[in-house]
Amino acid sequence: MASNEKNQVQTTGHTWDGDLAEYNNPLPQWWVWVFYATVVFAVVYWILYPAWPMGGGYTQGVLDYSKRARLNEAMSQEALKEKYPQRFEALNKISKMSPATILGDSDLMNFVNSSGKVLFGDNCAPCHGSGGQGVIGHYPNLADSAWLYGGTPADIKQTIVQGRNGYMPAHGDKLSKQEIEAVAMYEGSLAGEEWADDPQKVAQGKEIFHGSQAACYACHGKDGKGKEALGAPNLTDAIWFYGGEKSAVIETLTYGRDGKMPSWGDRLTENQIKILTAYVHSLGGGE
Amino acid sequence: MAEQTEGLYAAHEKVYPQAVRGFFRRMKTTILLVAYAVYFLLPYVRWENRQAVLFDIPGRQFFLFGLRVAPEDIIWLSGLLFIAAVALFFVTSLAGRVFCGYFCFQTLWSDVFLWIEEKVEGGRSRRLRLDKQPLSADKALKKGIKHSLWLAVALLTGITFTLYFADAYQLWYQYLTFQAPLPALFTAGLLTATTYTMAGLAREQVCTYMCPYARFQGAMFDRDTLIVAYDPSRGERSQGRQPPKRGERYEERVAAGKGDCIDCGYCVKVCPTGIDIREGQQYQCITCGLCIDACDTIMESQGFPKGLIRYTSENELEGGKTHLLRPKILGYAVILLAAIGVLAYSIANQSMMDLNVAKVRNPTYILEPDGRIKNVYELRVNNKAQEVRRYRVSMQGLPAAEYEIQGGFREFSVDPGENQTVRAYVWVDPDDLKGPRSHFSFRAERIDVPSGKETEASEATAMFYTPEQYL
Ligand code: SF4
Ligand code: SF4
Repeated sequence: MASNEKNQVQTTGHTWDGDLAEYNNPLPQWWVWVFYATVVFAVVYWILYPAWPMGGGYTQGVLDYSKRARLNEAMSQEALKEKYPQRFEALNKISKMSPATILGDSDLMNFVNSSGKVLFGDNCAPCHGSGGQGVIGHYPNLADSAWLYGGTPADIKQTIVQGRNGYMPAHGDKLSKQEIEAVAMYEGSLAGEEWADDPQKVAQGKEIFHGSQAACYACHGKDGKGKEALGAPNLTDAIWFYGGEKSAVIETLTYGRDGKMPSWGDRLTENQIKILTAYVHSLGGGE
Repeated sequence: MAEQTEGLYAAHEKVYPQAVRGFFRRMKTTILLVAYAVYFLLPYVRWENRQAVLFDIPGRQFFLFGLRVAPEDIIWLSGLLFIAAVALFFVTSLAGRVFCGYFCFQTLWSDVFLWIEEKVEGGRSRRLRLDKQPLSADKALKKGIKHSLWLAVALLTGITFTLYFADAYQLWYQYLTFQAPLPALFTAGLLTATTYTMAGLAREQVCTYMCPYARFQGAMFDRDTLIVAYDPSRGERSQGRQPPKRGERYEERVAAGKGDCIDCGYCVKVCPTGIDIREGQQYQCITCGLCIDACDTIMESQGFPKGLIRYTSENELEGGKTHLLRPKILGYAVILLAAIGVLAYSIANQSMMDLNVAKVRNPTYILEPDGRIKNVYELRVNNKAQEVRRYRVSMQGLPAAEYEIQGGFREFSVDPGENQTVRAYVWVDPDDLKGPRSHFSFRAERIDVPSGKETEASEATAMFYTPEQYL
């Protein structure tokens, strides 16, 4: 036999059809051991953890392990109390307080400033912006002191819980273009806008404003300062929700406006609403 | 003949240090006892209702008796490291590797492990014999006892280390009831394992092969640095080392040119790093002085003057004098004192509060119904003191500005080590402003509750933004 026998591949010794032999290529030892180890691992795993389906149920495993139970446990009140005692205590306190009293507690406001930011980011920021600055013409600025429906804690809470429906009727069918321009001129003069510079038109607009045909005063008040009960904006201040240019005011008068704040009463918990109320109040405009 | 090649690695030769008595041994033992007492007892010392020394990692603060070190004070740590480095330069230039010989943890723990070894297995010759013996019940028992005692000391060392990071009594309770948190178990386990390996098994190899200090100490040595050295001129004279002869007087020996060293080898046997100091200065020497004790014992028994091996300097060995007060040493001393002074001053005069101001940039500014511009800021007042304190915040530097602190909290109390954030609203009429950006400042002052007087204050600058269109 040749001397390099060692390097030749062995056959299993089986032969078919006289000359057909089968090579013997055994697996490396380490591979075999890894395989045995995985078998052992699997068996141990079946015993310890839930593994085999059994009709309607499954084998439970001796460790009695359940991810769902663990999650529930981690989220339970007791776990919260133990893991985040300060948070638990703060929430507990908040559940017994009104937003107005929360605002007066500096410790709780520390908590509100941080957890409120998260709540606001999740729920309110898509419309009102992450800093509550709003979008002119679409969503009101919550950081300024102008409030359509009032800025006391109680008002803010009501707005969050029930939502709001703002409605400015269109006047394009009742008033002529010229009349609408006159009303816009009058309103611009109330707010001190520079473009309201035609005293004649201002006087005419004033008449229409207070007249029965348009009856603007019914919502915006005799002095034009608005009515919070109706969500009618103050026309004498520097804030224009739909923009303060002459064209924007004319557009509002002609076509009317529709504002909708959805209600969050059934989407947030009582505590979350209180935290949000205090947070929105502290953005800068609360009364 | 086949050529002999030398391997890159020498096989480890186990060192069997012999016990010795004497001045340096006593000094080492005293230092060891003090260090152990401090290390093992300090976690149980209380200070004002808490552990005196506590490294509160989750609370991000360290307590050192009356001192609370907050993360902002991390600069002190660099100060401390600087002082430690200079102190090391100082003592190394002065007296070589004394730190190694007397204070190093490795030395302290190996010393105790060696002591245990000797108590269990006997003196040097008995240990040598025991290791040569085939395994017997007696040998197994002795080795077993030794290793269990080693492990016990290592475990106690590991556990004690973790006690510095939590309430010691509570943590002990948790250990004993098998409820200790995982990080504590892991740390204690790691420390136990390393103590056992380093002090028990690796011993002198740590000093000779692992310790970086052994490698760079040479840079701090000079000819006046105190070192442990054998005096060859006296030990060898013209005739070299000579064993003692009965009845020979010292003067006769000297006259005959015989060296004082009687070649007894005691100094080699006691050396914990296993070197022969008579071969001159070696980097393995940790200047522990045990060979001095050994040789002095021999000299005394022979009636020879002591000090054949002694603390001396290269200058002195060559017949000169040792200059202790050298410019280098004085320089180190001055830097050391100055650094200690600065650190002490900084700790003694640390501000117990600070104020941080962050402008709310979203939105940058707010137009108010009355045409004024509003900017919002977040003020954070940090109470670094260990008691509740009361603070008052205010703003100044913007003429005609009006400001309000959210919720009207111009004054509030902050718990020890906590901080309080409040929002501040500032209104300015753009007509009163000179440009789009105006600097001003907020100020927080600590007020003494009974008297209402200001005791400490911290100021922070802020910027008021107004868009050009409103100016
Ligand atoms: S030579 Fe002497 S001083 Fe140096 S390590 Fe050995 S016993 Fe200690
Ligand atoms: S102990 Fe002293 S006398 Fe003995 S060998 Fe060492 S140097 Fe020589």
